Amino acid sequence: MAAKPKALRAGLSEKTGITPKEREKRLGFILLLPTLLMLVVITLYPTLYSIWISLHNLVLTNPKSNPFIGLMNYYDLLKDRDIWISFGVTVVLVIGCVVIETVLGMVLALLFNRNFRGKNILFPIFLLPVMITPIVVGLQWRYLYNGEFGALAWLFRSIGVQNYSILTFSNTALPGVMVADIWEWTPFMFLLFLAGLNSLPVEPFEAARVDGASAWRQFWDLTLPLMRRVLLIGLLLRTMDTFKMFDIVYIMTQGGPGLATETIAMRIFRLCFKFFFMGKGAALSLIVLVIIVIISKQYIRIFQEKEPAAAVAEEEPGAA
Amino acid sequence: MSNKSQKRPKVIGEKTSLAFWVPFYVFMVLYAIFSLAPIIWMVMTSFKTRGDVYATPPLLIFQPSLESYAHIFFYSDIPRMLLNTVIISIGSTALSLAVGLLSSYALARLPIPGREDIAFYILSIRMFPPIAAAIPIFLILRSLNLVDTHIGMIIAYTTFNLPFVVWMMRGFIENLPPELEEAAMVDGRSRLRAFLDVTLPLLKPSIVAIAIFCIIFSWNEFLFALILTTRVAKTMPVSITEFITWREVTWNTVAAAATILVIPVIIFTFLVQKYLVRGLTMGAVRG
Repeated sequence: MAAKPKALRAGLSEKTGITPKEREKRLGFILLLPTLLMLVVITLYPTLYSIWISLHNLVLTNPKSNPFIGLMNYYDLLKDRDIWISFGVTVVLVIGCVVIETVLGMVLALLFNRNFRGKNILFPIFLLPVMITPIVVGLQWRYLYNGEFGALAWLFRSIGVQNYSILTFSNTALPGVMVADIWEWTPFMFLLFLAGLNSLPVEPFEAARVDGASAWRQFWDLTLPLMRRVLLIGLLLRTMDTFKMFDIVYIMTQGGPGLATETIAMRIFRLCFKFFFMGKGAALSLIVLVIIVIISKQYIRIFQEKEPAAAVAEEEPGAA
Repeated sequence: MSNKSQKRPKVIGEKTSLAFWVPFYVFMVLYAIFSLAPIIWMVMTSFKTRGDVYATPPLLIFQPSLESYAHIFFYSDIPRMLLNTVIISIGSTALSLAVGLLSSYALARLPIPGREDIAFYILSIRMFPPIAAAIPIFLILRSLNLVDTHIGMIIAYTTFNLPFVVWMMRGFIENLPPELEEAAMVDGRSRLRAFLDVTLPLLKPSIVAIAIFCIIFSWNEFLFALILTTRVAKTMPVSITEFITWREVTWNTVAAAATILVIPVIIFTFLVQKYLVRGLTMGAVRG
């Protein structure tokens, strides 16, 4: 297809009275429309529906009666001690998992950022866990943890502890679930950070090395700031997903023992499908949504690049 | 692309002495074992007989048996579930990419009013707890007679694949210098043409990487599949849980089903690993 000479296009503006900028804006709208249409249609209804339901006392065992109770659901939820325990469990889960996954992922990425023998074999092996279905991950760890016939139980027996099922004791149930999550998702951070490291410009590091900066200095003052964007994406995605984590908890402990692993998502599930308190379930979901949105905005605020990486690279050699 | 011949920065310093390599390899091997062991254990379990599964201490050496696989292939619907999973994963990924690519370009480059807010709205869709979204989506699908259909599932999965595609793609596009398209436009191309001719080819690896993740997310998804399907379009993750009954968990059958679900993914990983890093490497073009 022959490209139109620019002169003709410029004439277009005079003819139709639309500036190039206007044209771009319209093009943008047109391109954006299918996505927005799909997403809004599919998600607007659930959101509105959830808000509507959360203001009513809908109990599925009695679907005909649907009294409007305003914000009572929210009030009941915030008063409920169990909900606060769930929040606590979720916070521990999120902080523990995300921190360890980030640190471990970063360490692995740094180690992989050089050539060594066996790299091509180890790389897919390290990646494997993130590809496994969370349900399967939960199942396999549940099997490993079993106090009677699980593989880990055998290890415990050799240090004299009998029949210790990790998931049935409230002290170790949550760490047990966390290990499964960390096992599965560290490779995701590892992959993300590795890609990020691969795209860093070489010049600042060479300059730093010439200046005699130690490895630690290089990492702290150069690598981390330059990886801002990647760190943001990783932290954002993992925090969001861990907050909503359902699959692994459902298949491993269903929230038990007691409330030890009752994450917020598990709580919502219980409210909706065990107790049939649809109103409360919807209300809790919306609370969780607001929390995640707030946290995400904070992340973006902290990690938003203040200056493009190129400018940082330029400053380095002449910094002194 | 031109950086391949340059030495990658050795961020940990230039040490190549034995004092570095020994702990390095020890750590690597330990982590590899940590990554692999549970999977290998699961595969081994799938070859055990029902009795062997409960043996204490757990058996490392046992008489292998194909009874769980026989059960799965002849007595259950698992092969069809596997096909469903394949169809829905690929379908949803294709749809999300087709719709999301152009939109992410619009969000990255074009002066749309309220751009940042729209982008955040799209991201925030992924923040909504899926449990709460599942029921309304069920109601929507039911009114369209799409419950328990492949198309219904594909649409449902697009709700989280599409934001992912848009958000990631937008980041990659933003990392490419806008001068690329401007140069192409000076040559007389329109903005859209510039994107298609110049930027898109550069983005190919990233598109592949994002597609890989979308397929994996869809393949492994559980909650929507649980609620939005009953018989026809049920996917593998849901059928695995059916082996867990109140009486017992037939671990060997579960393990066999899990292995069947996981083997394609493992093969897939080995095949695409190099695309993943290449694709996620942002700023593939250095000025």
